[in-house]
Amino acid sequence: LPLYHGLRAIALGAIGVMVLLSPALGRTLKTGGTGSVTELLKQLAPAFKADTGIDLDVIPGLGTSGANNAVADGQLGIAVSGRHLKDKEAKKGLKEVATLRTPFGLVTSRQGPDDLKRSDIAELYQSNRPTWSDGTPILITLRPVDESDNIVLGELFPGMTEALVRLRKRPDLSIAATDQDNADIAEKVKGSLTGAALTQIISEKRNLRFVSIDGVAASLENYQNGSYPYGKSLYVIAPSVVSPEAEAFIAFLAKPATEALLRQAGMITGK
Amino acid sequence: VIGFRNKLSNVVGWLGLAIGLTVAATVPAGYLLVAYSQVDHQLSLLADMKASRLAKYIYLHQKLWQYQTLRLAELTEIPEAREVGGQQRIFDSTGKLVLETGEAPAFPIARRSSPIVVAGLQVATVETAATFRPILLATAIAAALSSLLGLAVVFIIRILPQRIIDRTLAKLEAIQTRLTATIEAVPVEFMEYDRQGRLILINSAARVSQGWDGNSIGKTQRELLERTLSRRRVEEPDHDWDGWMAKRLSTLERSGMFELTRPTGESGRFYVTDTPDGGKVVVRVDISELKQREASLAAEMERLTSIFRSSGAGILLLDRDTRVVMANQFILDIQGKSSADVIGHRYSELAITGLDSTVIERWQAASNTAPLTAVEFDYSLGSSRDARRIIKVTATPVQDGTGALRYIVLIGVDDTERRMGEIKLFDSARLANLGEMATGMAHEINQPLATIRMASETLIEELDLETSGMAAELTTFFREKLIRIATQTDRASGLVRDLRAVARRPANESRPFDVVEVARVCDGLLHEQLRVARVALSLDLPPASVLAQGESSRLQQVLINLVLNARDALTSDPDRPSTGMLGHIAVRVAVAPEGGTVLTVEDDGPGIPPAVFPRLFEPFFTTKPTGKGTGLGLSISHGIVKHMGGEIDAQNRSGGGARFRIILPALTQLSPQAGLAA
Repeated sequence: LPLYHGLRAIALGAIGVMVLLSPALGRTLKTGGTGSVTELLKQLAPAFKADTGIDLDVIPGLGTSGANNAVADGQLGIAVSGRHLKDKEAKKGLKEVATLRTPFGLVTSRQGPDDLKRSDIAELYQSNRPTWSDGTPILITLRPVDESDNIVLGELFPGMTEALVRLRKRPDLSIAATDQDNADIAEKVKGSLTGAALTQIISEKRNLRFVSIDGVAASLENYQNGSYPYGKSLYVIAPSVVSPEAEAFIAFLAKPATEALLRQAGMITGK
Repeated sequence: VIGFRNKLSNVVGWLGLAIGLTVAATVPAGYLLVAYSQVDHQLSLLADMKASRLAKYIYLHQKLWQYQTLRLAELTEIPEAREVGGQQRIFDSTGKLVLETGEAPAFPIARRSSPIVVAGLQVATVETAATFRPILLATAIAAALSSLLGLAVVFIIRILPQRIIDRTLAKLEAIQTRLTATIEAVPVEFMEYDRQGRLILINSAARVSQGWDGNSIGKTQRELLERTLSRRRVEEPDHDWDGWMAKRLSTLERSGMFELTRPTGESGRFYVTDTPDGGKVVVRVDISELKQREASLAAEMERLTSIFRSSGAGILLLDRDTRVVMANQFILDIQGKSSADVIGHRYSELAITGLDSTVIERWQAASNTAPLTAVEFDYSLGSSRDARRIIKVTATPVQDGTGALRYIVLIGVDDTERRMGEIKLFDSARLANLGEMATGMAHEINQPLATIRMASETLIEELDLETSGMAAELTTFFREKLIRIATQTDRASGLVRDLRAVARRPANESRPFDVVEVARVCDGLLHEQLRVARVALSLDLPPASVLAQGESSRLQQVLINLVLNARDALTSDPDRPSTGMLGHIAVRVAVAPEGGTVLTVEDDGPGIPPAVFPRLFEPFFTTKPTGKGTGLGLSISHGIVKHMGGEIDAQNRSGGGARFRIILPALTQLSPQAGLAA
């Protein structure tokens, strides 16, 4: 009997130790969000693991809205949104805990260089048969109405929101559901033209080139110095109760090493 | 008619309203039904397609698929389906809304959902929704338009047909008036009853015949009959009015034609027909006169039929194919067959031959109205000469209106008597000529006989005066010879005188004569002739005259005929002796007890065969060899005696031989003014 009580005490002690150590063992932070950063998040995962010991599980294809809802439902620890939180999302307790920015512009599969006037872009989008300077037809790819890139593109150029609404009535234009679909289509179509974030093009190593606007190329430097004013803000979304893993990720983003990695991917932190 | 028109107008009005409402309701209802079905079908189909697409995606991307809204939204959009204004929602297995795309459709909303099944488990449900408002709006417009159409239909059906109905009713009224007038005018009785058996139409002929006044309309046949019979039962109580009424009432219980006779004898023929509305039309035709005519006709037919059947003439009716249609008893007797064995058989199968087939063929080929000529032919009935009858047949073709042959009528008449009359006439003429010749010859013979007589008498006188120079024996010899010459001359003169008397033409004048003298004359004429034939003739005569009324020459003819017949019987007897007298004939005249005269001729020959008796006095009947007798002697004798009011009969004598007896009426029964002729 003393032996039995001894063994039971040892077993219970082992179980207690395991319970106490379990959070540190196999900790994972599920994340996802706008397609522009999906590849970037995957590329950050090793550094994050190395820094915090936490696995970063990037769920692809969620998009901004899906990722935000997943965070609200506790299915993700943190998300990257391509837009500000909506009121109903905020009412669920979500909050923007960090901001990332990246140049945003028009990409094409052409070898370039090509340049567009800012004031001509909306008209070009509304033209029935727009062509490049060499006469090649411009084949535009649209995004879903509520998709963040569509909203960003409408806001960047004058008259662009109305142009996109009218353009959506054309049945011959392709609508890409995700950022990856958008890039895939743009790569495959000759004379393509669609909106995209610089960080996606770089991180996914896409065979696409940005069209300079008013003679200014879409680069992180031009974006930072203001000569290329067209960009997209990305927001790190966390639930009302932030998990330690999420807090670790937020802290990870603020670290200089991380910022360097982000810059290499065409992205900077801060508003 | 006005009531019918109003009813018809109401019916048409309600019918128009019903059709109008139907038109007004059918179009929008139909559209709504079809459109709803289409939307329902489209939504269900889209839900199924989206569920299928989503299921494949979720199967491949199960990790947090509920939050992959971009892809889910893309998969819920099917541009090929040309969705317009629809809303899609995805619910997970707990019912939580996962995705909602598109704007919420306006009320009313049609929703259809389809389960999303992955690996056999339902992981979610996709719902498609669309507003039903455009369909309702279109339905409302269709309802408005169809209401206008319905109103137009009501107007058209109520107004236009009304005019047509009015015109048609006017025509119907005219027709009804004309028909009523026609029914009123027809001479037959016309009555119509409705399905309850009430009288609704009656013409004047029926009112008069039935004794129903104008108040009869609307009453049943029983009521009308009761009203009529209540009077007639009193007026004519002997008749069975109740029985007749029961029969009369039954007329409305059936259809067809039947006849009914009133207790008073009037007959009516009823034609009862069902009307389409369950009533009866009764037409009664008074056939009382017809019945009387039928009865008369039947009697006439019976009379004609009896004449036809029993006619002395044979009547045979053939159709154009010469098949027997009718044959009367005369023909059947000739055929020796029954009617059933003759009717329907061809003429060629009958015994009555003589109508030539070429004549028949010529008649059958006739095709115009030119009358065909009848033909006559003789048909001999009976094989033996004695029993032969001669039928004179007249075949008459009967043509129809086109001239084609329809019937052949053969009428056969027994012509035997006429033929006999012709022969008798010929014999009479021949005898008359012979008589005249005999009279002339008697006159011529008398002259030399008188001369011979006078010469012989003169020689006798001279011989008596001159006897000196002649021997007495010679004188006696001459004297006897001269006397014999005178005697024979007298006898010859008597024969000539008797022959003149016999051969004298009948004067057709009846007068009393002496039967005894007739017998003597006969003896004088035939005695020598019979003697030569080895037949003895004896007379048994009363001492006084026996008178009879008539023509003596005719009775003489009868007596000579009977004596010669007796001679022929004696001489033709196969058992006659080769020598000596063959037989004896006795002629007897006697007064009958009743006062008449009996003249008897008897012989002792073979007598009359029994089979001959029934036909003894028939013309042309003879037992003599052919060429020896005409068969007319006894027949003529029978006629002469009958003409004199007498009787002649024959019988065989008990001791052998035949006896003919003539009984003539007593002279006192005849005209007292008649003088003595012979």
